[in-house]
Amino acid sequence: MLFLTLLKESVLFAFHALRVNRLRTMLSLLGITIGIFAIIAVFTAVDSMANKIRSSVKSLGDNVVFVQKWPWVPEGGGEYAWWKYLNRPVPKIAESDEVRRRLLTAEAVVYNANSRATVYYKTSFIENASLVGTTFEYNKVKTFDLSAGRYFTQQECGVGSSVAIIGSSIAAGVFHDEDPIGKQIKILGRKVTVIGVFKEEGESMMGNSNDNNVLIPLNFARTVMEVEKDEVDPFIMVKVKENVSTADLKDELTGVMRSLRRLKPGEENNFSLNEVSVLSGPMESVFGVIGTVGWIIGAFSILVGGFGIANIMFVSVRERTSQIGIQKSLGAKSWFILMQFLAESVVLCLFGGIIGLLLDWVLVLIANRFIDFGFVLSFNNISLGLTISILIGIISGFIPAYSAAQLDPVEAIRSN
Amino acid sequence: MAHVIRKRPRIISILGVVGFIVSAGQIIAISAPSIRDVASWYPIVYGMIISLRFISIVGVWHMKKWGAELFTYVTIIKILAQTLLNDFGMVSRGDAIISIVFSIVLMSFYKRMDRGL
Repeated sequence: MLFLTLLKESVLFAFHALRVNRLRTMLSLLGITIGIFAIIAVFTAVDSMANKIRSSVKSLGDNVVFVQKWPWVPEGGGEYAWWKYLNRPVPKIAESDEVRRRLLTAEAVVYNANSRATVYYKTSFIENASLVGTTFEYNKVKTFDLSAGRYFTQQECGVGSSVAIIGSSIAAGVFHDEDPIGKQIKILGRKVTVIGVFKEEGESMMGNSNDNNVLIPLNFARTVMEVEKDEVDPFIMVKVKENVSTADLKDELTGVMRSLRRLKPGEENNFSLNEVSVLSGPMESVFGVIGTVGWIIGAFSILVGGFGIANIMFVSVRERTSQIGIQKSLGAKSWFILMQFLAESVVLCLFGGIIGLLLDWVLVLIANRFIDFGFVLSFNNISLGLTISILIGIISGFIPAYSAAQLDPVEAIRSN
Repeated sequence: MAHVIRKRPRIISILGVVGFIVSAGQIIAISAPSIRDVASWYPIVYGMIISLRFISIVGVWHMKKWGAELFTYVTIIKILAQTLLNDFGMVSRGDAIISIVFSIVLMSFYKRMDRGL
């Protein structure tokens, strides 16, 4: 109890000392403010981007293999041999059906074809919407939520009903405040009934947001576009079974695809097996580098700020030497003097850290206003910022506080 | 308040200087991505350990018994934390060995140190 009372007294004393020298206080805590601001801003940006990548990878399917004509990265390293890939055939629907039939390690197989189209509803229209023709198991391969309506039935996919699930941007763009469910939109000259709306996803790091998509059954898509042509970039998505590794799936898939395409032993594959991890891995390492650079800049700023605080604390001790002498001669213990100056230093740094965090918060608000990215100042980063501030306060204030605590009362009183 | 002035042995001076330099480096490392990657709470624990170690070096520099004691306790806590987190990397092992050697040297001068703050 006595300790708490003395601690409270020390903190109040520290606040009084800081109030008396406002300008000096503000100038000395600038280093800490800038340091905390820099470190937490970079960590917030990096964490938000890393989370975005992870959620994008999850929605794209982190355990999905894409059978495509074009590889996402050069096959076997080195140069991207586009001239070799150019002559490859695109995956066919029949191949997708055979893959589904033969693969033992696959949980779901989906055939996809993408095109661009204008979506009309009454007098409103949206140009350049992404039209995605897909098969029934699309919802098993990709992660998404619907804000309204429902997913396709197996029958709708089988007979190729003219139904669609539209993205939130499309819904907002053509329907405005109307409920889109059950309404008919016009795509490529055909009337299509809206049966569902994707939940808003925002910008995606992998460019796979559903916001601008119109999802239609593949058998319907076949009636409005040529789904096995190069122009619509058709591909097969294969989701791996639980407890099976993607590597095992790729091995089996390679064998099946090679046999379907009648490739001789030793002949090169004329298809690519792509995985999201080949894109997300390099991205995460880039963010790792950004995080490290930000940390180095911020850490040195904090170190310099710490020296500034130590300097100002030495000045503070010198200014109050006679006061310390009087306190000690009246019975104040050395540790009380120590606590008093340490509290002042911690309060100073904490104040600097809080200002830095407030600036980060303002930056996040501004960034979220202009970029649809969902930056979040997380609790972890806030607690990290406050912890660093307190620790720098303790470290930079300890030596001045200790030297104050060691003062001889008689000599301290005489100092003025 | 008269206090006994004891001459600081050269080895303690060297250890103190090294300790201050290492502390400065470790302060920078509090917010390092590698420390954050261990666990979300680890920067806080690591920071506390670094601060206590810095304070203990100040005590050792002034030839105070509490300095040597605090340094030894902090070394034990740090080794326990590393063991709990299964952190046996090169840097962690090196730090643990050097800290144990430091503690042994400090304890060998324990009798020549002062009591009190």
